[in-house]
Amino acid sequence: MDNQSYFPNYYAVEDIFVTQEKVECKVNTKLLKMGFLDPGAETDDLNSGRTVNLPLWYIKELKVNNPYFTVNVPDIYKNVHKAVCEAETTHIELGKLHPYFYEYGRYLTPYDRNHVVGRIVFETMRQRVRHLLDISKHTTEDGKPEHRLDDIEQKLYDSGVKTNAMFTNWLQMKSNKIRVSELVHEHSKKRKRNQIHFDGGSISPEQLRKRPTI
Amino acid sequence: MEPCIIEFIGEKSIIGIVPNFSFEPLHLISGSVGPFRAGLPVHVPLWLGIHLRKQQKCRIVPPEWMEIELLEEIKEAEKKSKFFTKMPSEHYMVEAQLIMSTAPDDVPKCEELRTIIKDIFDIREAKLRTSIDAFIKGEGTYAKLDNLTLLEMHTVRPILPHSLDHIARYQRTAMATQRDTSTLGLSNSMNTSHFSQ
Repeated sequence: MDNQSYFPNYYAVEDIFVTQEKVECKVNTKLLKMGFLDPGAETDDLNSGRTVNLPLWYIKELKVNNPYFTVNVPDIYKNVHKAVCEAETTHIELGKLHPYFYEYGRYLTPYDRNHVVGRIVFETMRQRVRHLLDISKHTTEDGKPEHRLDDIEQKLYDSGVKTNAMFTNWLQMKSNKIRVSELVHEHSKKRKRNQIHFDGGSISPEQLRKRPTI
Repeated sequence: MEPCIIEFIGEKSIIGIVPNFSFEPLHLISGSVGPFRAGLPVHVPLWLGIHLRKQQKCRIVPPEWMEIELLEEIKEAEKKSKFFTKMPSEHYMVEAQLIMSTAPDDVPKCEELRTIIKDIFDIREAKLRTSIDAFIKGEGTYAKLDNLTLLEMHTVRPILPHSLDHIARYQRTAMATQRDTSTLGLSNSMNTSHFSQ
């Protein structure tokens, strides 16, 4: 069981997925020879005033007030949704809005001149923790949540369900048997395999080397 | 932490047994137990009591608090109080669970007790959820949870600390941009500072 909560880092696959997302940007200056960025462009150059979709990993390395692009904050964080979020955060399907609602929002926070995105992300999370606690408590092991959750919420939900399952098992004394540790199990498997090799002698060393090892 | 680890910790608590055999004192690392005289009550750790009971070598004396009237009182107090009341035993759930599953005959009104103890646990758990919600939505910076037992804490871990981590992270981002409108690029300092963890 991992005891650390998710934290974005260079090697996290979630972080890579989030930064792959496209962001709509408005071009502010004429960029020479950059026309390939815009599929609809007629010239080799990227003219100012056009909008292009650029991946987040590119945009996030640029300064917020860079002279080339202005980031358009996606509609999901716009005021309409803000109203919905503030009223009943537990009733929206966050996963449907965006599978990485929180992280995507976090990356876009500095580009939002009205400072609402950061607040929305923070408030939404705050409002929904209780909801998460409740649904993870009331789902059985094989049950599926009714709502599609954001990636981070999904992780929290899974850990909640797991805790709950462990507790129920304990109450029903299901977990009384001491299980063989994973390491010992793997070791005995390995030993069995080696025994077959020595007894039968049918496997050549060449084949043995090709076998996937643990 | 898994429930079986909490059970292991709870097994260290002392209970009374009435052995039906005589034996010299047992000298264990944690201290000596015994001597055992047939028919005379003696205090032993819970794990030893359960073990002997399974071999039909003793009768378990239920803890004093395992009594309907007392538990009814505790239940009422728990319902009325806004805070967590002090439980008669640090590991009440573990003790009840172990004693009642191995020696249901030694405890009078076992089934009723089981129900009422589970009721108390459920009330406390619901209270914990409510106070967590109030804490997260409120302005408080810390919460004090006295008298909470290990098993009750287990029900909200690791989901609660992890959620708090995320909330704190988003709050910091929101605050950082609000304070410093001329942030140069997206500050990655938060990423790197925690990267060494």
